[in-house]
Amino acid sequence: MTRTITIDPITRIEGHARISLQLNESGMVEHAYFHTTQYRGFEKFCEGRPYYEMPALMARSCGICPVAHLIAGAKACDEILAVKIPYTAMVLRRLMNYAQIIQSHALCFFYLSSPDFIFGFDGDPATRNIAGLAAKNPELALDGIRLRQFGQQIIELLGGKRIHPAWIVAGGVSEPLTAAHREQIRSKLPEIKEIALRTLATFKPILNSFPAEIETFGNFPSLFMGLVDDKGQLEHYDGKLRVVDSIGNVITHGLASTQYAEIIAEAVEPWTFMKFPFYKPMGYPAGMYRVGPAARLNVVTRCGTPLADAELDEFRATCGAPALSAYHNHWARLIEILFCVERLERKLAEDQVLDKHVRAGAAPNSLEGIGVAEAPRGTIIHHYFVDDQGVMKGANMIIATGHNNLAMNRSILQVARSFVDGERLNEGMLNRVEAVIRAYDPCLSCSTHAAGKMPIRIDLLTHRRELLCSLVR
Amino acid sequence: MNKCLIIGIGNTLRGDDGIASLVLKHLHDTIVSDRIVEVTQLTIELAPTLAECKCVLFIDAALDLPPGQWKIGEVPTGVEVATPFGHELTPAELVQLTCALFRHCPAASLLRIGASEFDKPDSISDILSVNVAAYADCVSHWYQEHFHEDENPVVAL
Repeated sequence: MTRTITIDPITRIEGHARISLQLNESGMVEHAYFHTTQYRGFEKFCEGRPYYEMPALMARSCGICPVAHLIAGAKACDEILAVKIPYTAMVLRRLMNYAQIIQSHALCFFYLSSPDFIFGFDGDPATRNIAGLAAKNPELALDGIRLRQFGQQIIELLGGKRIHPAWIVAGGVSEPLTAAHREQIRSKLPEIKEIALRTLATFKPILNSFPAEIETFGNFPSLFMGLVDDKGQLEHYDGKLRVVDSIGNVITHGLASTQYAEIIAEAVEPWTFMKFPFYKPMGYPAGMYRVGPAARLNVVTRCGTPLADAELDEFRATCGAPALSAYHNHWARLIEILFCVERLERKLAEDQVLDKHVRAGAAPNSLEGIGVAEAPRGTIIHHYFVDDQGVMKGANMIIATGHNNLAMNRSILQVARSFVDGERLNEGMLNRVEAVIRAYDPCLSCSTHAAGKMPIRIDLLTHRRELLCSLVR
Repeated sequence: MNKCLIIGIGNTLRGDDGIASLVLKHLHDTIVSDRIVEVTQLTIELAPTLAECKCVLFIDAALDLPPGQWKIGEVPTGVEVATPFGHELTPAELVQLTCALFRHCPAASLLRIGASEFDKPDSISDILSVNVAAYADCVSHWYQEHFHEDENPVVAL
């Protein structure tokens, strides 16, 4: 007897997007919808697994920022164990997170975004990519490669491999750092810092060459959220949640990250699989907030390292405080790379970084655990529920791309209203929509694997929802 | 810039795709370890490594050869990087990007091994398994041809 098994929807496939622009009766763009068309299902298929598998399991949700998921997952498991992890383990987790931010930001800035700055948003798509950049400006491309390589090498030195290292575990990390590996990393820091500073010096003069894009790439009032330390400084591993409004007022200050549910709720829409988190006190969809590099710089009092703080001053003087345009994420990324290099210098200089005691052991002592960390793209939250044997009963993940979902939809609408003539789509329009999404650096862009080109389909619909035209890449 | 490098491409969890890794394991004691790189895919981050090389041999599974057969040839230079994927480049594209970035092109060869089964984790098909020594021999010959200018020559087989 034959048996048919139907899998619907197909899960865990990599992301592609569809965008619908709907016109009103006057032919003006009235609505924009950013459809995430695939269901991933991580929260569902973890049910029944032992809690200690969660960090490595959840890390599979991303090939670019698995470290952030490892950290958030491990922190949630630390809570389930109810242990305080060794100081050195915390430092080592931080080191890997800094490395991940450097490599991921380098990927986004150099590989994906800088071709737009070098060739222009209307440049030839055939050369508007890292290969074109290598031909036209090899020094810039090489700087990007070296930054990314540096971040990846640290991840490999610490965790044994570059992608999905199973090194960050419940209770700490699995192996200590060796003196040789510490020196290997430290020996490269001067060159990496020089590259970060050189890139900032290169980027800032061309920043204002794109006034229309700065004006329309997600340039609107919203809230911003990120982690800060006890002094209100930039924090990627731990700390407390801070939310500022569109004029810089702190409206949530010092909220323990484990209390995220007091300020964040989630909505769903029938036309996409991506959730819509919102700031609960303001309701949906008014409680739109943003996370990520620019949001982090918007919420902090200071960065907390000398060079990054100097850059922060210039950033705020130029872009505003808070900086509202999503375009400024690119600058913020470079500042964060510099910050991470400075933090690597400082943390690697500590004697305790070589301590061999890097893991706390315990059995499950709590039925619930929440882990929060800053990924390159913004705050991520892992919330786990287990039974008294430590078997997963449920999970909730709120990832950076989800936090930004409302803002990304609004950003596409803003770009569409500025660049769509009402009846026809064109390549420049397509690239600007890509670019505004790319400014948020969503997981979508990394999981689709194409440098400089996202597999996107844009549909232009009349007010009767009749298809006028489509652009497919 | 007088190094020779061998780059094995493939995923050991995808059956015959991991043949390069198996070949390099066979050569484990005969080639200096820092002259071997194993990757699942070619990425642009390998360009600085290639720029330090006089010559490079890529080893990869191939779908356009009969299973078990192998073929070694030169990697063409000056090709257009037509598919600029961030996580996957062909040997020719990687060499071209290395040229663009460093103004230096290593002489590149490619050993392609005809493969057929890609759905068996940790398992190579029988027809490839019986030929591993022959593939390794091919790699050794390539290395012997180039090692005379290499600062760390191959250990005698």
